[in-house]
Amino acid sequence: MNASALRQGMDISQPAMSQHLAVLRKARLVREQREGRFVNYEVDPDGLALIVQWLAKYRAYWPTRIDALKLLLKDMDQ
Amino acid sequence: MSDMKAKVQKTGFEQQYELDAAPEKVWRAISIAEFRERWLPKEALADPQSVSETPGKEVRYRLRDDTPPFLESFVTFTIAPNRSGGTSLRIIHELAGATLERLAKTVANSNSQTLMLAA
Repeated sequence: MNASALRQGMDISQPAMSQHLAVLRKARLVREQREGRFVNYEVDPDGLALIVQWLAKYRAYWPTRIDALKLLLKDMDQ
Repeated sequence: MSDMKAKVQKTGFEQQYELDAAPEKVWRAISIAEFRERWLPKEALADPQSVSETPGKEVRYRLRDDTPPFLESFVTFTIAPNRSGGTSLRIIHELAGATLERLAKTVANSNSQTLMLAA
């Protein structure tokens, strides 16, 4: 989708949309493809995959650490 | 729309746990290295020293992944007394802006490795 198509239905100016897209591009969440004088934007699957993977890892990580913390807290009682 | 920007620069999530122990005790367990290392391995931390600390309330650490591309992140532990005399522990874990920039470079420089990681 190009930047004007992305803006449809949203109350946002062209420069503001460009700024947001720049942030997303920097974070590798979207990538751009030039077609003549148009620039199309799409989700960057590689960047997104890394972040999804990171989220999945740590969402599962903390519950096991908290189990260990609970054991320690019991131990600290004695 | 500034919200959107904030979310992108701080990709992360939040979890909350209820613990039976009193806040003072939980504080010692999360802030004193000797205790902390018994439930949170020191290898997980990029720096054993906390990034910031509000005694009895909040402590923040920098973490580093143990596998490529070694993403760095910040975890904030916030504690408060709960109604049953125990402690509410809130964990906020987020990839910081600098990490996202590094991530961008990693993805840009090593496409094949990234594809393998994603699989």
